[in-house]
Amino acid sequence: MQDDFNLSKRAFEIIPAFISWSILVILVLFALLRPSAYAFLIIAFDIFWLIRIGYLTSLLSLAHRRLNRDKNKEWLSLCRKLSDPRSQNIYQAVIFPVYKEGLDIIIPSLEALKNTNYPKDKMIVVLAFEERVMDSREKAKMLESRYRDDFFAYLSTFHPDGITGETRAKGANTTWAAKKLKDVLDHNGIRYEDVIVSCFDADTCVEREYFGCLLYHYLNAEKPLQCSYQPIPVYNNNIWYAPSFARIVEITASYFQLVDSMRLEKFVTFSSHSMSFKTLVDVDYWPVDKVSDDSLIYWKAYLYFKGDYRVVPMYITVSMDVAYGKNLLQTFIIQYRQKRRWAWGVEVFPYVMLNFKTDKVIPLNKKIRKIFQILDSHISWATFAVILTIISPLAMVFGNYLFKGTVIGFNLPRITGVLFNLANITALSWIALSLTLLPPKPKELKFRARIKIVTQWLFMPVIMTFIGSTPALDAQTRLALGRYMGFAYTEKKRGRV
Amino acid sequence: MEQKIRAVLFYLSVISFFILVPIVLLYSFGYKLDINRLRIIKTGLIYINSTPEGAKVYLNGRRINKTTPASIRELMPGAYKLSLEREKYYSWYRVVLVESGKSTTLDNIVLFPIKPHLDKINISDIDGFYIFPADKDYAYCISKDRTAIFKINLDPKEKEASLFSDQLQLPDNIKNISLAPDKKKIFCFYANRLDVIYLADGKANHAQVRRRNFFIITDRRISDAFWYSDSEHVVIITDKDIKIYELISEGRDNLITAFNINNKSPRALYDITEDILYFTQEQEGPDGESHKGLYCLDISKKSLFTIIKGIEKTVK
Repeated sequence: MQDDFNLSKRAFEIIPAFISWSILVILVLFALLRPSAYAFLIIAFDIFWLIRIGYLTSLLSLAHRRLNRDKNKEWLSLCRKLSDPRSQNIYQAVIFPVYKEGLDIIIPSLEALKNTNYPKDKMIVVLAFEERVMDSREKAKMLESRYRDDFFAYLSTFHPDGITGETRAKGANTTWAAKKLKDVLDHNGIRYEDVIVSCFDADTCVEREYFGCLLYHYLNAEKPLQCSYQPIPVYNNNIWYAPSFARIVEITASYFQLVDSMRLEKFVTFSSHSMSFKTLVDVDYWPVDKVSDDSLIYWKAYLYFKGDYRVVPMYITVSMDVAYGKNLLQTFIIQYRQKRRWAWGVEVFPYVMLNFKTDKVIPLNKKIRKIFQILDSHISWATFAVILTIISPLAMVFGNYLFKGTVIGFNLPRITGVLFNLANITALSWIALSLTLLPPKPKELKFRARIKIVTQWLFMPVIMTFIGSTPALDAQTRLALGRYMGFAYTEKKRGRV
Repeated sequence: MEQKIRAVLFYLSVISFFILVPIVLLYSFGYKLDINRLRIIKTGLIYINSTPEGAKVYLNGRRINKTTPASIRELMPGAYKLSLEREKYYSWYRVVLVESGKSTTLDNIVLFPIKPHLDKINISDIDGFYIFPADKDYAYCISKDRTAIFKINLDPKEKEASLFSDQLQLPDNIKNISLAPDKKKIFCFYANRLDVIYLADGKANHAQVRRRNFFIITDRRISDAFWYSDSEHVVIITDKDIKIYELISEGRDNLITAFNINNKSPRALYDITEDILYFTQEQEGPDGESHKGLYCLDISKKSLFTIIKGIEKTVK
């Protein structure tokens, strides 16, 4: 039975990479051996991509409109107007997993918490340190002395290294912290269902109304315990100082989160998210042996509630740091590694498949839809940029050789060129939207910084070529080969390069 | 509400995809709907470009609303009379065969002007001129009285001309003139004489340079001559032998015979980049008949060095 389980697990681990590589290899083989079939597929793909990008841009505009609509809402007042007795009892617990982040990163996040309008006597803050990091205790002590009295409870936890069954990942640390939080709640006689827990990256700065917004959505949810609550992550903390290259990658990531917020059926938790503490305890916390704890917690809950679990989008932003290095090469490497870690989210596929296999309650059509959604997002991520920027232009470069003297040989480069350019035109709306998401320009920066933030989009095709699909393809290949990834810490940096 | 909009957008996208894909694919592969017969037919296309561009395109005598470069699509298979017309240029005409699914590319059509533009490069009288590969931007001209050589810039806008050598007495029967790779001297040959003439640039003392000029007399008629790549040797071909003359030891017995040949009118070509001489040579074959063959003589420094090494090895 164990052998069967392992075999299935390996098979499911191989499937995403197998599909992605098959698509790419088949297209290249067709280009060399069956140029007409290649032309057929490339034109169909380019039209599919053009329509898809148009569709996604429409969703982005809708989501953006919602974000604007909800931006100035006084959520806490709205909660009071609901006259829901629960609203007085809800505690907001926030866990900040800290690895090597310095005080310059953590303090602004805690200050942002302090500046929220949620009653501080209903807030519990947990700073989850790793015991193996040398200066954890010093940092904890310093922060404790500063923030101890600002909240109902302030905890510093130190996750020990080398616990059996754990991997060195964020999920293991946050789970350890959540268990310590449980002790505090038990000690104070607070019911788990009265606590909403938020797991934030150490650089996450929330808006003043964040917890009001969270409470409002919690109170209005049909089954609040069967929901995760997902804000829109933006990377505004240091965006004005980050290199253009890194900015575009992160803005695009925010965009995809906005788009997904409109596709509720495939919306899963990502990065900073919130949920009921009771649900967290019931599903046995975040996974301790996986890297993608943020998305896997959704799947754990989904399986626990037999498919009756969803992610509620909250059109309020949480701001994080753009990851960048000292120079362009370092920035590229950091970005590449970060995106590869995100793409490692493909590990949910074998996890979900194995659990779907044993589950007898979730309807088959629901399972199929979910499987398709996981595969669709990961496989399109791993292939679309390679097809658009490498395989599709083969027609232009080798057109004369591949299709010598044929009508399709003459038409293909022209048609793919037109389709590609039409898709690029949608980028204009992305530029406009990106400007509205920006924080105010720091005074010390000159006007040219504003020009740069518009012209940076010219790098889009280059970025797409190098960092569009390759991290995802890399992550999937590693999973297929059984070269499992550990959590790679992304260094946080503020200020000029 | 937004979810409804989203659903509408989604279904619109799906419908657009299934409508657009067949239309674009059929168009790309050259298919066309024949409305009269209600059937899809496979067509061909012609792509045409000309130098200069902008010529009007006529197909079977009918003007097409395009100028070159132009692609004429959806053509039924068959022969088409294609012509190009551009004001002040000769028209171009050809019958082009169009096949279904195939593209015919005509992109190297040159339209020649009816009144070609004539540039006058030089206003003085000349007897003849030479343009050498070693100095392609200039023409080396011989004055009308055949006493001077001067060079002029080939760009008509540049009125640059400079005297190289004067007080010469160049005969009428010069067979060829050749510029040395170092561009400092030329030779000319006629009958059994080869003159080496040093070229003086504008600032040089012409009389002093002229004193370095000299000539070589061979015992047989010179059929061809070439500069060796170092500009210090001349390879001379007569109907009896191949000689090499060394300029730096001028005035001494410096004319060596590299190879004896047997050909009344040898044809020769010299590859200066490799220092290899190709020439024709008559030899008697096994059938007792005389055959003219092509030979090559490698006189490059590299090959001479290899020969010496070979001799040294044999001696050892």
